[in-house]
Amino acid sequence: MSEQLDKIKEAIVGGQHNEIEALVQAALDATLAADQIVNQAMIPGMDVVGRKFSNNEIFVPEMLVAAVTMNKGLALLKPFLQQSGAESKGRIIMCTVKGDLHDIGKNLVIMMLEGAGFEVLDMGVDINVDSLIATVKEIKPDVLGLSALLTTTLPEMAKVIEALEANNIRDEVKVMIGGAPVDAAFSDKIGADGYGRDAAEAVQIARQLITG
Amino acid sequence: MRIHIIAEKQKAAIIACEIMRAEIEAVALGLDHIETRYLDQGLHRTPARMAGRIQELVDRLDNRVDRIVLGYGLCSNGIVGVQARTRDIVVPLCHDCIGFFLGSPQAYLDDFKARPGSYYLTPGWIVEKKDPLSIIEQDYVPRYGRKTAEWAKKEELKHYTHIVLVDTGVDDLEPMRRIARKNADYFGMEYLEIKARSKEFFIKLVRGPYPEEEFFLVRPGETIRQGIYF
Repeated sequence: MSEQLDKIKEAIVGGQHNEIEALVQAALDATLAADQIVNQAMIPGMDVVGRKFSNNEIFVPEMLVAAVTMNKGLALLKPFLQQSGAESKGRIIMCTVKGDLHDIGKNLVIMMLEGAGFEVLDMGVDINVDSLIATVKEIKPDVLGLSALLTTTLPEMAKVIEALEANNIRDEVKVMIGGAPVDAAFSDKIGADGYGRDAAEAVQIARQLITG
Repeated sequence: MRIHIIAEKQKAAIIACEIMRAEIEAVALGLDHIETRYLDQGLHRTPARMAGRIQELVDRLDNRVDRIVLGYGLCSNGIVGVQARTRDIVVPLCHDCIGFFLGSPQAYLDDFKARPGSYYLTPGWIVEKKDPLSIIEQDYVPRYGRKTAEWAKKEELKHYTHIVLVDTGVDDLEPMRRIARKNADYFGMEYLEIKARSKEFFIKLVRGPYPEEEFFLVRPGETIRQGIYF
Protein backbone atom coordinates (compact mmCIF):
# COMPACT_ATOMS: atom_id res chain seq x y z
CA MET A 1 0.00 0.00 0.00
CA SER A 2 1.27 3.46 -0.79
CA GLU A 3 2.60 5.60 2.00
CA GLN A 4 -0.12 8.16 1.37
CA LEU A 5 -2.93 5.66 1.82
CA ASP A 6 -1.25 4.43 4.99
CA LYS A 7 -1.18 7.93 6.42
CA ILE A 8 -4.85 8.50 5.64
CA LYS A 9 -5.80 5.23 7.28
CA GLU A 10 -3.77 6.16 10.36
CA ALA A 11 -5.37 9.61 10.48
CA ILE A 12 -8.83 8.02 10.53
CA VAL A 13 -7.84 5.56 13.26
CA GLY A 14 -6.27 8.34 15.32
CA GLY A 15 -9.09 10.81 14.67
CA GLN A 16 -6.70 13.45 13.26
CA HIS A 17 -9.46 15.59 11.87
CA ASN A 18 -7.21 18.64 11.49
CA GLU A 19 -4.77 16.78 9.28
CA ILE A 20 -7.04 14.67 7.13
CA GLU A 21 -7.80 17.23 4.45
CA ALA A 22 -4.13 17.91 3.72
CA LEU A 23 -3.44 14.19 3.58
CA VAL A 24 -6.31 13.53 1.20
CA GLN A 25 -5.28 16.47 -0.98
CA ALA A 26 -1.72 15.15 -1.12
CA ALA A 27 -3.02 11.77 -2.21
CA LEU A 28 -5.14 13.36 -4.94
CA ASP A 29 -2.17 15.44 -6.08
CA ALA A 30 -0.20 12.22 -6.35
CA THR A 31 -2.93 11.06 -8.76
CA LEU A 32 -4.41 8.43 -6.51
CA ALA A 33 -8.03 7.73 -7.43
CA ALA A 34 -10.77 8.89 -5.09
CA ASP A 35 -12.41 5.47 -4.84
CA GLN A 36 -9.02 3.95 -4.11
CA ILE A 37 -8.58 6.39 -1.21
CA VAL A 38 -12.00 5.47 0.16
CA ASN A 39 -11.74 1.71 -0.29
CA GLN A 40 -8.08 1.19 0.54
CA ALA A 41 -7.55 3.76 3.28
CA MET A 42 -10.72 5.18 4.80
CA ILE A 43 -12.90 2.09 5.07
CA PRO A 44 -10.00 -0.06 6.34
CA GLY A 45 -9.29 2.74 8.86
CA MET A 46 -12.87 2.63 10.14
CA ASP A 47 -12.59 -1.14 10.22
CA VAL A 48 -9.75 -0.80 12.73
CA VAL A 49 -11.80 1.74 14.72
CA GLY A 50 -14.74 -0.69 14.80
CA ARG A 51 -12.58 -3.51 16.08
CA LYS A 52 -11.02 -1.35 18.78
CA PHE A 53 -14.50 -0.31 19.86
CA SER A 54 -15.66 -3.94 20.04
CA ASN A 55 -12.64 -4.76 22.17
CA ASN A 56 -13.32 -1.84 24.54
CA GLU A 57 -10.01 -0.25 23.64
CA ILE A 58 -11.86 2.92 22.64
CA PHE A 59 -15.30 4.36 23.43
CA VAL A 60 -17.98 6.44 21.75
CA PRO A 61 -16.05 9.74 21.68
CA GLU A 62 -13.13 8.24 19.73
CA MET A 63 -15.64 6.68 17.36
CA LEU A 64 -17.32 10.05 16.82
CA VAL A 65 -14.02 11.83 16.19
CA ALA A 66 -12.97 9.13 13.71
CA ALA A 67 -16.30 9.62 11.92
CA VAL A 68 -15.80 13.39 11.74
CA THR A 69 -12.32 12.79 10.36
CA MET A 70 -13.57 10.48 7.66
CA ASN A 71 -16.43 12.83 6.84
CA LYS A 72 -14.03 15.72 6.24
CA GLY A 73 -11.93 13.55 3.96
CA LEU A 74 -14.98 12.31 2.08
CA ALA A 75 -16.21 15.85 1.52
CA LEU A 76 -13.01 16.55 -0.41
CA LEU A 77 -13.39 13.37 -2.41
CA LYS A 78 -17.05 13.68 -3.23
CA PRO A 79 -16.71 15.75 -6.42
CA PHE A 80 -14.17 13.25 -7.75
CA LEU A 81 -16.29 10.25 -6.80
CA GLN A 82 -19.24 11.77 -8.66
CA GLN A 83 -17.11 13.01 -11.54
CA SER A 84 -15.77 9.56 -12.30
CA GLY A 85 -19.27 8.86 -13.58
CA ALA A 86 -19.58 5.65 -11.64
CA GLU A 87 -23.16 4.51 -11.39
CA SER A 88 -24.71 4.04 -8.00
CA LYS A 89 -23.79 0.62 -6.63
CA GLY A 90 -27.29 0.23 -5.28
CA ARG A 91 -30.02 1.96 -3.34
CA ILE A 92 -30.26 1.53 0.43
CA ILE A 93 -32.73 2.76 3.05
CA MET A 94 -31.35 3.14 6.58
CA CYS A 95 -33.03 3.89 9.92
CA THR A 96 -33.13 3.00 13.58
CA VAL A 97 -36.21 1.03 14.56
CA LYS A 98 -39.22 2.25 16.53
CA GLY A 99 -38.26 3.30 20.05
CA ASP A 100 -34.54 3.45 19.39
CA LEU A 101 -33.02 6.92 19.29
CA HIS A 102 -29.38 5.90 19.07
CA ASP A 103 -28.02 6.80 15.66
CA ILE A 104 -24.26 7.03 15.99
CA GLY A 105 -23.79 3.56 14.51
CA LYS A 106 -26.39 4.08 11.80
CA ASN A 107 -24.81 7.40 10.74
CA LEU A 108 -21.42 5.77 10.57
CA VAL A 109 -22.76 3.02 8.35
CA ILE A 110 -24.42 5.58 6.06
CA MET A 111 -21.21 7.55 5.69
CA MET A 112 -19.31 4.38 4.80
CA LEU A 113 -21.96 3.19 2.36
CA GLU A 114 -22.02 6.55 0.58
CA GLY A 115 -18.25 6.56 0.45
CA ALA A 116 -18.37 3.11 -1.10
CA GLY A 117 -20.70 4.37 -3.83
CA PHE A 118 -24.16 3.41 -2.62
CA GLU A 119 -27.12 5.75 -2.77
CA VAL A 120 -28.55 5.99 0.74
CA LEU A 121 -31.84 7.36 2.00
CA ASP A 122 -31.53 8.12 5.72
CA MET A 123 -34.97 7.93 7.31
CA GLY A 124 -33.57 8.90 10.71
CA VAL A 125 -34.46 7.47 14.12
CA ASP A 126 -37.49 5.90 15.80
CA ILE A 127 -39.17 4.86 12.55
CA ASN A 128 -42.42 2.96 12.82
CA VAL A 129 -43.19 -0.06 10.70
CA ASP A 130 -45.93 1.56 8.63
CA SER A 131 -43.91 4.51 7.39
CA LEU A 132 -41.00 2.18 6.71
CA ILE A 133 -43.15 -0.10 4.57
CA ALA A 134 -44.60 2.88 2.70
CA THR A 135 -41.11 4.19 1.96
CA VAL A 136 -39.86 0.79 0.82
CA LYS A 137 -42.81 0.56 -1.57
CA GLU A 138 -42.11 4.02 -2.91
CA ILE A 139 -38.32 3.96 -3.17
CA LYS A 140 -37.89 0.27 -3.96
CA PRO A 141 -34.42 -0.01 -2.41
CA ASP A 142 -32.10 -2.94 -2.98
CA VAL A 143 -31.37 -3.12 0.73
CA LEU A 144 -33.13 -2.03 3.90
CA GLY A 145 -30.75 -1.47 6.82
CA LEU A 146 -32.15 -1.55 10.36
CA SER A 147 -30.21 -0.46 13.42
CA ALA A 148 -30.85 -0.75 17.18
CA LEU A 149 -28.71 -0.22 20.26
CA LEU A 150 -31.15 -1.42 22.90
CA THR A 151 -32.25 -5.00 23.44
CA THR A 152 -35.68 -3.56 24.23
CA THR A 153 -36.12 -2.45 20.64
CA LEU A 154 -34.65 -5.54 18.92
CA PRO A 155 -38.09 -7.18 18.49
CA GLU A 156 -39.02 -4.24 16.23
CA MET A 157 -36.64 -5.66 13.62
CA ALA A 158 -38.66 -8.85 13.51
CA LYS A 159 -41.85 -6.81 13.16
CA VAL A 160 -40.42 -5.02 10.12
CA ILE A 161 -39.61 -8.33 8.43
CA GLU A 162 -43.07 -9.68 9.25
CA ALA A 163 -44.63 -6.54 7.77
CA LEU A 164 -42.57 -6.92 4.56
CA GLU A 165 -43.94 -10.45 4.29
CA ALA A 166 -47.50 -9.36 5.03
CA ASN A 167 -47.21 -6.75 2.27
CA ASN A 168 -45.79 -9.30 -0.18
CA ILE A 169 -42.60 -7.33 -0.72
CA ARG A 170 -40.20 -9.46 1.30
CA ASP A 171 -38.65 -10.86 -1.89
CA GLU A 172 -38.11 -7.43 -3.35
CA VAL A 173 -35.71 -6.10 -0.73
CA LYS A 174 -32.80 -7.52 1.21
CA VAL A 175 -32.75 -6.75 4.93
CA MET A 176 -29.50 -6.14 6.78
CA ILE A 177 -29.42 -5.47 10.49
CA GLY A 178 -26.88 -4.17 12.95
CA GLY A 179 -26.24 -2.61 16.33
CA ALA A 180 -24.46 -3.65 19.51
CA PRO A 181 -26.94 -6.34 20.68
CA VAL A 182 -27.37 -7.95 17.25
CA ASP A 183 -25.57 -11.18 16.44
CA ALA A 184 -25.71 -13.86 13.76
CA ALA A 185 -28.08 -16.03 15.80
CA PHE A 186 -30.58 -13.20 16.18
CA SER A 187 -30.25 -12.31 12.51
CA ASP A 188 -31.01 -15.92 11.50
CA LYS A 189 -33.84 -16.18 13.98
CA ILE A 190 -35.76 -13.23 12.58
CA GLY A 191 -34.94 -14.09 8.96
CA ALA A 192 -32.74 -11.12 8.07
CA ASP A 193 -30.52 -11.49 5.02
CA GLY A 194 -27.38 -10.36 6.76
CA TYR A 195 -25.89 -8.63 9.74
CA GLY A 196 -22.83 -6.46 10.11
CA ARG A 197 -20.83 -6.51 13.30
CA ASP A 198 -19.55 -3.02 12.59
CA ALA A 199 -19.75 -0.34 9.91
CA ALA A 200 -17.01 -1.80 7.72
CA GLU A 201 -18.73 -5.16 7.77
CA ALA A 202 -22.03 -3.49 6.87
CA VAL A 203 -20.44 -2.27 3.64
CA GLN A 204 -19.27 -5.80 2.80
CA ILE A 205 -22.71 -7.21 3.56
CA ALA A 206 -24.39 -4.58 1.38
CA ARG A 207 -22.04 -5.43 -1.50
CA GLN A 208 -22.74 -9.14 -1.11
CA LEU A 209 -26.48 -8.67 -0.88
CA ILE A 210 -26.61 -6.51 -3.98
CA THR A 211 -24.19 -8.36 -6.22
CA GLY A 212 -25.58 -11.67 -5.01
CA MET B 1 -49.75 -16.02 39.25
CA ARG B 2 -47.22 -18.83 39.07
CA ILE B 3 -44.31 -18.73 41.43
CA HIS B 4 -40.87 -20.20 40.77
CA ILE B 5 -39.49 -20.46 44.29
CA ILE B 6 -40.97 -19.39 47.57
CA ALA B 7 -37.48 -19.09 49.02
CA GLU B 8 -38.28 -18.85 52.71
CA LYS B 9 -35.14 -19.26 54.79
CA GLN B 10 -33.18 -20.58 51.82
CA LYS B 11 -29.60 -19.43 51.93
CA ALA B 12 -29.12 -17.07 49.04
CA ALA B 13 -26.35 -15.08 47.44
CA ILE B 14 -27.22 -11.92 45.57
CA ILE B 15 -24.73 -10.90 42.89
CA ALA B 16 -25.59 -7.38 41.84
CA CYS B 17 -24.35 -4.24 40.21
CA GLU B 18 -22.90 -1.66 42.59
CA ILE B 19 -25.48 0.80 41.31
CA MET B 20 -28.25 -0.83 43.40
CA ARG B 21 -26.30 -1.45 46.60
CA ALA B 22 -28.31 1.01 48.69
CA GLU B 23 -31.66 -0.39 47.52
CA ILE B 24 -30.61 -4.01 48.12
CA GLU B 25 -28.97 -3.37 51.48
CA ALA B 26 -32.08 -1.55 52.67
CA VAL B 27 -34.16 -4.70 52.23
CA ALA B 28 -31.47 -7.28 53.11
CA LEU B 29 -30.67 -5.67 56.43
CA GLY B 30 -30.80 -8.20 59.30
CA LEU B 31 -31.40 -11.20 57.02
CA ASP B 32 -28.61 -13.61 58.00
CA HIS B 33 -29.41 -16.12 55.27
CA ILE B 34 -28.75 -13.57 52.52
CA GLU B 35 -25.26 -12.61 51.39
CA THR B 36 -24.60 -9.85 48.94
CA ARG B 37 -21.78 -9.26 46.45
CA TYR B 38 -21.43 -6.21 44.23
CA LEU B 39 -19.55 -5.68 40.99
CA ASP B 40 -18.28 -2.42 39.53
CA GLN B 41 -21.04 -0.59 37.69
CA GLY B 42 -18.47 0.39 35.01
CA LEU B 43 -19.15 -3.04 33.48
CA HIS B 44 -22.24 -1.34 32.02
CA ARG B 45 -19.94 0.26 29.47
CA THR B 46 -18.07 -2.95 28.69
CA PRO B 47 -20.80 -5.62 28.58
CA ALA B 48 -18.40 -8.07 26.92
CA ARG B 49 -16.58 -8.36 30.23
CA MET B 50 -19.64 -8.68 32.43
CA ALA B 51 -20.50 -12.37 32.13
CA GLY B 52 -16.99 -13.48 33.03
CA ARG B 53 -16.92 -11.41 36.20
CA ILE B 54 -20.36 -12.65 37.25
CA GLN B 55 -19.42 -16.26 36.49
CA GLU B 56 -16.37 -16.03 38.78
CA LEU B 57 -18.65 -15.06 41.65
CA VAL B 58 -21.25 -17.71 40.76
CA ASP B 59 -18.52 -20.36 40.84
CA ARG B 60 -17.20 -19.17 44.17
CA LEU B 61 -20.62 -18.98 45.85
CA ASP B 62 -22.30 -22.00 44.25
CA ASN B 63 -21.68 -24.60 46.95
CA ARG B 64 -22.26 -22.22 49.84
CA VAL B 65 -25.89 -21.28 49.20
CA ASP B 66 -29.21 -22.75 48.07
CA ARG B 67 -29.79 -20.26 45.29
CA ILE B 68 -28.05 -17.41 43.53
CA VAL B 69 -29.89 -14.28 42.49
CA LEU B 70 -28.63 -11.81 39.89
CA GLY B 71 -29.15 -8.12 40.45
CA TYR B 72 -28.70 -7.46 36.73
CA GLY B 73 -30.88 -6.81 33.72
CA LEU B 74 -29.97 -8.24 30.32
CA CYS B 75 -27.62 -5.21 30.24
CA SER B 76 -26.83 -5.13 26.50
CA ASN B 77 -26.35 -8.92 26.56
CA GLY B 78 -23.79 -8.51 29.36
CA ILE B 79 -25.17 -11.47 31.33
CA VAL B 80 -25.57 -13.76 28.31
CA GLY B 81 -23.47 -16.89 28.79
CA VAL B 82 -23.52 -17.01 32.59
CA GLN B 83 -24.04 -20.64 33.58
CA ALA B 84 -25.76 -22.11 36.62
CA ARG B 85 -23.51 -24.77 38.19
CA THR B 86 -25.25 -26.87 40.86
CA ARG B 87 -27.73 -24.26 42.14
CA ASP B 88 -30.51 -22.38 40.38
CA ILE B 89 -29.83 -18.81 39.35
CA VAL B 90 -32.78 -16.45 39.64
CA VAL B 91 -32.70 -13.72 36.98
CA PRO B 92 -35.06 -10.74 36.75
CA LEU B 93 -36.75 -10.46 33.35
CA CYS B 94 -35.66 -6.84 32.89
CA HIS B 95 -33.71 -5.59 29.90
CA ASP B 96 -32.25 -2.88 32.04
CA CYS B 97 -31.82 -2.24 35.77
CA ILE B 98 -34.17 0.70 35.34
CA GLY B 99 -36.94 -1.90 35.48
CA PHE B 100 -35.89 -2.73 39.04
CA PHE B 101 -35.97 0.90 40.07
CA LEU B 102 -39.31 1.57 38.38
CA GLY B 103 -40.80 -1.40 40.24
CA SER B 104 -41.22 -4.12 37.59
CA PRO B 105 -40.11 -5.17 34.10
CA GLN B 106 -43.50 -4.09 32.77
CA ALA B 107 -43.24 -0.68 34.40
CA TYR B 108 -40.02 -0.10 32.48
CA LEU B 109 -41.49 -1.24 29.15
CA ASP B 110 -44.52 1.01 29.69
CA ASP B 111 -42.43 4.02 30.64
CA PHE B 112 -40.03 3.39 27.76
CA LYS B 113 -42.88 3.21 25.28
CA ALA B 114 -44.40 6.41 26.59
CA ARG B 115 -41.11 8.31 26.48
CA PRO B 116 -38.32 6.61 24.50
CA GLY B 117 -36.07 9.64 24.91
CA SER B 118 -35.69 9.20 28.67
CA TYR B 119 -32.28 9.29 30.31
CA TYR B 120 -32.93 7.71 33.69
CA LEU B 121 -31.01 8.64 36.80
CA THR B 122 -31.27 7.04 40.22
CA PRO B 123 -29.52 8.07 43.44
CA GLY B 124 -27.04 5.24 42.79
CA TRP B 125 -26.10 6.52 39.34
CA ILE B 126 -25.65 10.01 40.71
CA VAL B 127 -23.59 8.92 43.74
CA GLU B 128 -21.36 6.90 41.41
CA LYS B 129 -20.95 10.05 39.29
CA LYS B 130 -22.52 8.45 36.23
CA ASP B 131 -24.86 11.27 35.31
CA PRO B 132 -23.90 12.70 31.89
CA LEU B 133 -22.25 15.86 33.27
CA SER B 134 -20.11 13.84 35.67
CA ILE B 135 -19.16 11.43 32.89
CA ILE B 136 -17.94 14.44 30.91
CA GLU B 137 -15.86 15.67 33.84
CA GLN B 138 -14.58 12.37 35.22
CA ASP B 139 -14.25 10.14 32.20
CA TYR B 140 -14.19 12.24 29.06
CA VAL B 141 -12.28 15.46 29.83
CA PRO B 142 -9.11 13.70 31.07
CA ARG B 143 -9.08 11.51 27.98
CA TYR B 144 -10.25 13.79 25.21
CA GLY B 145 -9.98 17.40 26.46
CA ARG B 146 -12.93 19.61 27.33
CA LYS B 147 -14.06 20.65 23.89
CA THR B 148 -14.26 17.14 22.46
CA ALA B 149 -15.66 15.77 25.73
CA GLU B 150 -18.59 18.17 25.79
CA TRP B 151 -19.25 17.83 22.07
CA ALA B 152 -19.15 14.00 22.18
CA LYS B 153 -21.61 13.72 25.08
CA LYS B 154 -24.00 16.13 23.40
CA GLU B 155 -23.78 14.06 20.21
CA GLU B 156 -24.48 10.86 22.17
CA LEU B 157 -27.56 12.32 23.82
CA LYS B 158 -28.88 14.55 21.06
CA HIS B 159 -32.14 12.63 20.60
CA TYR B 160 -32.90 12.31 24.31
CA THR B 161 -35.76 14.48 25.49
CA HIS B 162 -36.03 13.93 29.26
CA ILE B 163 -33.84 13.52 32.31
CA VAL B 164 -35.92 11.27 34.54
CA LEU B 165 -34.92 11.08 38.20
CA VAL B 166 -36.28 7.93 39.84
CA ASP B 167 -36.96 8.31 43.55
CA THR B 168 -36.18 4.86 44.95
CA GLY B 169 -36.84 5.96 48.51
CA VAL B 170 -33.38 5.31 49.94
CA ASP B 171 -31.63 8.65 49.88
CA ASP B 172 -32.26 12.28 50.59
CA LEU B 173 -33.44 13.34 47.16
CA GLU B 174 -32.65 17.04 47.32
CA PRO B 175 -28.94 16.89 46.36
CA MET B 176 -29.79 14.33 43.66
CA ARG B 177 -32.50 16.58 42.32
CA ARG B 178 -30.05 19.46 42.03
CA ILE B 179 -27.64 17.39 39.95
CA ALA B 180 -30.37 15.87 37.79
CA ARG B 181 -31.82 19.31 37.05
CA LYS B 182 -28.38 20.66 36.20
CA ASN B 183 -28.03 17.86 33.64
CA ALA B 184 -31.44 18.58 32.16
CA ASP B 185 -30.60 22.29 31.81
CA TYR B 186 -27.20 21.67 30.28
CA PHE B 187 -28.48 19.27 27.63
CA GLY B 188 -31.71 21.17 27.02
CA MET B 189 -33.95 18.30 28.17
CA GLU B 190 -37.10 18.31 30.20
CA TYR B 191 -36.78 17.32 33.84
CA LEU B 192 -39.08 14.71 35.29
CA GLU B 193 -39.27 12.91 38.61
CA ILE B 194 -40.87 9.53 39.23
CA LYS B 195 -41.67 8.23 42.66
CA ALA B 196 -41.36 4.53 41.94
CA ARG B 197 -42.32 1.32 43.67
CA SER B 198 -38.68 0.27 43.72
CA LYS B 199 -38.82 -1.20 47.21
CA GLU B 200 -41.45 -3.75 46.25
CA PHE B 201 -39.23 -5.10 43.51
CA PHE B 202 -36.08 -5.19 45.64
CA ILE B 203 -37.95 -7.08 48.39
CA LYS B 204 -38.90 -9.71 45.81
CA LEU B 205 -35.37 -9.80 44.43
CA VAL B 206 -33.78 -10.38 47.82
CA ARG B 207 -36.36 -12.48 49.64
CA GLY B 208 -38.57 -14.04 46.98
CA PRO B 209 -41.08 -15.38 46.13
CA TYR B 210 -40.31 -15.04 42.42
CA PRO B 211 -43.35 -14.67 40.15
CA GLU B 212 -42.86 -16.08 36.65
CA GLU B 213 -43.82 -12.84 34.96
CA GLU B 214 -40.88 -11.04 36.51
CA PHE B 215 -38.17 -13.65 37.00
CA PHE B 216 -36.85 -16.72 35.29
CA LEU B 217 -34.87 -19.62 36.67
CA VAL B 218 -31.66 -20.84 35.14
CA ARG B 219 -31.40 -24.49 36.10
CA PRO B 220 -28.08 -26.21 36.88
CA GLY B 221 -26.07 -26.61 33.67
CA GLU B 222 -28.15 -24.08 31.74
CA THR B 223 -26.83 -20.75 30.49
CA ILE B 224 -28.51 -17.38 30.19
CA ARG B 225 -29.56 -16.60 26.61
CA GLN B 226 -30.85 -13.43 24.97
CA GLY B 227 -33.92 -15.29 23.67
CA ILE B 228 -35.31 -15.70 27.20
CA TYR B 229 -36.21 -12.01 27.19
CA PHE B 230 -38.32 -11.98 24.02
